[in-house]
Amino acid sequence: MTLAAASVREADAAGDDLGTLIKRELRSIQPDKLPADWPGTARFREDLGLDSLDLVEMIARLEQMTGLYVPDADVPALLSVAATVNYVRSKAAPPAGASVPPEITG
Amino acid sequence: MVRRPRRRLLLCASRPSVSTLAELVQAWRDAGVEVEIDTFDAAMPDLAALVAEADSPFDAALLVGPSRRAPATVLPAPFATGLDGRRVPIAWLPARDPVSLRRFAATAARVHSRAGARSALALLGQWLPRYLHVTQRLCRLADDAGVRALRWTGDGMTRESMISALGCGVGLGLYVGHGRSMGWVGYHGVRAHHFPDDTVDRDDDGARASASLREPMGAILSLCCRTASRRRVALSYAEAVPLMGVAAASFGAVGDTLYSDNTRWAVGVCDALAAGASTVGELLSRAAPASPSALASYRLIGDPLAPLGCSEQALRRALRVKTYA
Repeated sequence: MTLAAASVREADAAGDDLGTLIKRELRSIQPDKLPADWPGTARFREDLGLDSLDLVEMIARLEQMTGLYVPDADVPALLSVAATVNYVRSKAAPPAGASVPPEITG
Repeated sequence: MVRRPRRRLLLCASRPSVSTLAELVQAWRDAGVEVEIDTFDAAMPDLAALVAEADSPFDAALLVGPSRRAPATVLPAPFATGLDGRRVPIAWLPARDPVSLRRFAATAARVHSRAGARSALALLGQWLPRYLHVTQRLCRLADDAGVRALRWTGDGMTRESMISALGCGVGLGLYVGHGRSMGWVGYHGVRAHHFPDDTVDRDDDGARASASLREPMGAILSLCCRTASRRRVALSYAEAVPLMGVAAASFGAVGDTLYSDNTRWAVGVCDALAAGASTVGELLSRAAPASPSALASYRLIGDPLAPLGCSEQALRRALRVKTYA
């Protein structure tokens, strides 16, 4: 299991689902701008008023949390908390048909 | 009582350079660092490979070699990976001439020897909304982490006042904005020759000759393009900073960089300071982002063990610096 996959599974197993963790990080980035809670499908820019710096910092924190690297080309797809969670889970999942798990890295 | 394990540093230097670095080698040893010195004559060693293959792990390494070589080609990245899998900061210094090498060694030794328990971060930035926004955010991150942040950005200071402020002796400076091989674009352009050439000056007894002399910084990080590039210059800005005695270490990019990567570095630096990183090598090891391009773009120049703390006196001087923002 890669480090990223292990981190994601650990987070899910601890009951702190990824969505909650991401919201917590966003609230620490913009404590004054964000409500106490919001739907996972609310768009970062249009609905929550976050700017590019907020999102870059969120991605940096996400990378620290999960060990994943999010290429700049993938950033436009991270439109909301829900989209981000789906993205992280898709990156952390083992490839289809793999019989030997990849070695732990890092 | 738990003893802190001794740190080990590998110094690879051309044979003529070793004697000029004696003051720094002594400062390292006084700080409890075990220094292994490898000299070379013609062929420069592969520092990353030496670190990777060492039986006893190193905590840092410095390569001092002919100044015709560029940071981009002598080192592959700011880190090598030891046999134990740890990230080891590796640094470069061009041996231009004995005078500048001795100046660097004296600067780095001074940074090691002065008392420095306070943590302070000088935030420097080009006067553009994007970079001012970044520095405001970094101020908040630093404050949350209990690190004193000094916002010395281009909207509040002239080049001269910023350069004067850096002489207070704050441990760490971080610049965001545009950069070039000859210097920063911010503050209407900062070049190495804008810094006075008297950062470390002693009389014959080794005492500081004047109370008005500048104190060197621990390290200056340029999170921007190209300040460690040799494009159209014989010496990059990032290399000039330690050789001129402005700081014991500097960190700069050998090519173009991405805004997202620089932001990753900046966030990581604040987190690493909050976690108590006390040297530039430790800071960068902890702060390093996952992005491969963010790692490959940068090089560490000067003393990889440069301490980042500053004295109470230096912090008081820094807090008295006037800005207009």
